[in-house]
Amino acid sequence: MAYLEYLISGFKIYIRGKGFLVALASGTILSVYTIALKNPYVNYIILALTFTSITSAVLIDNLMIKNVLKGLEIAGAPPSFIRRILLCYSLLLALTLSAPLVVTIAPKFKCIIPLLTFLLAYILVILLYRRTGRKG
Amino acid sequence: MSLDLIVWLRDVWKTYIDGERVVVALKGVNLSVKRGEVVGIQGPSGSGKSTLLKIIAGIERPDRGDVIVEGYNLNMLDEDGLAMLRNTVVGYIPQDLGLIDELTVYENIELPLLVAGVPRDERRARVLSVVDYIGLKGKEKAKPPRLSGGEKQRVAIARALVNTPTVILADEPTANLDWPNAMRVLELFRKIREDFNTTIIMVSHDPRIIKYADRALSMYDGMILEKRPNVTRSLNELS
Repeated sequence: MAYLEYLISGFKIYIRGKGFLVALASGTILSVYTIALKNPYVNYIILALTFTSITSAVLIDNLMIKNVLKGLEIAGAPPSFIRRILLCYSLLLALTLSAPLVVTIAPKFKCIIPLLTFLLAYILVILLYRRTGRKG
Repeated sequence: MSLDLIVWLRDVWKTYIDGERVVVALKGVNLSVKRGEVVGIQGPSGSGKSTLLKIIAGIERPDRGDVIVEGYNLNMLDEDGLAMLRNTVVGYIPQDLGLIDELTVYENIELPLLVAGVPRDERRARVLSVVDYIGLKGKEKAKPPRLSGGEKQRVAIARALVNTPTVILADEPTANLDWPNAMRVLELFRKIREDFNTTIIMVSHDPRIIKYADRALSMYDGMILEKRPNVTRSLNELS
C-alpha cells in the first residue's frame, strides 16, 4: 500500500478521535505560558507538561485505538501495516501539540519538543497495541 | 487430506491461564469441513466454540495439534502469514462484530480491501456491489452506532465477504437479534453459500440456528461430542 494510504488511514483515526482536541488545546495553552512567563526555567516546565499532555491525548483515544486495532486484525492487517498507521496517527498528534509551541518556545527546544512528543505518543500506542494483541 | 476439504483440524488442544486457574478450552478436537458446506456448532457458553473459531481464523494458536485451512498449515505460518490468511481466505465475524464505530459502513467494509492493496476505483466498485448484495444500499455513510443490530450484523458479514473468502466463520451470528432478524441473517448465509460456494462455519449457544446448517455438531467442555445427521430444511418449512 502506498504511504499516502497509510497517512490517510492514520489521519482518519486522528481526526475521528478526541485526542487531537486535547493536543491542540494543550499546545495552545502551553504556548501562552511560554509568552506570559519569561523565566528561562519555564521552558523545562513546558517540556515536562508536553509529556503529560501527549499522554492524556493518547489515553483519551484509548478505546477508539483498541477498537481500530481489533477491526484491523479481523480485516487481516499484518503487524507492519498496523504499526505504520499508528506511526502516522502519533506523528499527527505530536505535530498538533507542538505546532503552537514551536512558535513561542526558546529556539533550543523548537526541534526537541516535536521529536519527543512524537516518540512518546508512538511508544504509548505501540504499548497499547502489544497489550491488546499478541503482536507488535 | 482430500482436496475437497477446506478446514481440517487434528487433535487440537488449547489452554488458557486465568489467574492461578488453568482452563482447557479445547481437548483434542478433530474436525473436517468440505468446500461449500454450512456447518453449525452448538454448545453452551464456555464449551470452546469461540476458541475453535479463533484458531481456524488464525487469531489464536493451538497449543498442540494441526490446523489446515485451504491447504495452509497454520502452525507453519508467521504473523504476516496468518494476517494474509484472514485477509484473503477466511472471513471472520466475531461475536461483538469488531466494527469500528468511528468509521462509516463503507469504510468498515473497505478495510480488508485497503489492507490487500486493492486500487481505489476497484475498492469502490467492490464495496458498493457487496453493500447492494447484503441489502444495505443507502446506508454507506452511516456509522455503526446508528444502525440496528441486524444491520450491524450485515455490515460485519459484508466486511467478511468483500474479499470473497473461501470460508466464513461466524461467532454467535444471531446472539443480539430477535428471531425474525436472526432468520434473515441465517438466510443471507445460505444465499452466500449458494452464490459463492463459500464454506460457512457458525457457532452458537442457540440450538435453532443449527437447523440452517448442512451439518450440525455439538460442543461440550472443549470436545466435539455429537454429530447429528443432515438437518437442512427450507426457510418455509421452519417458519
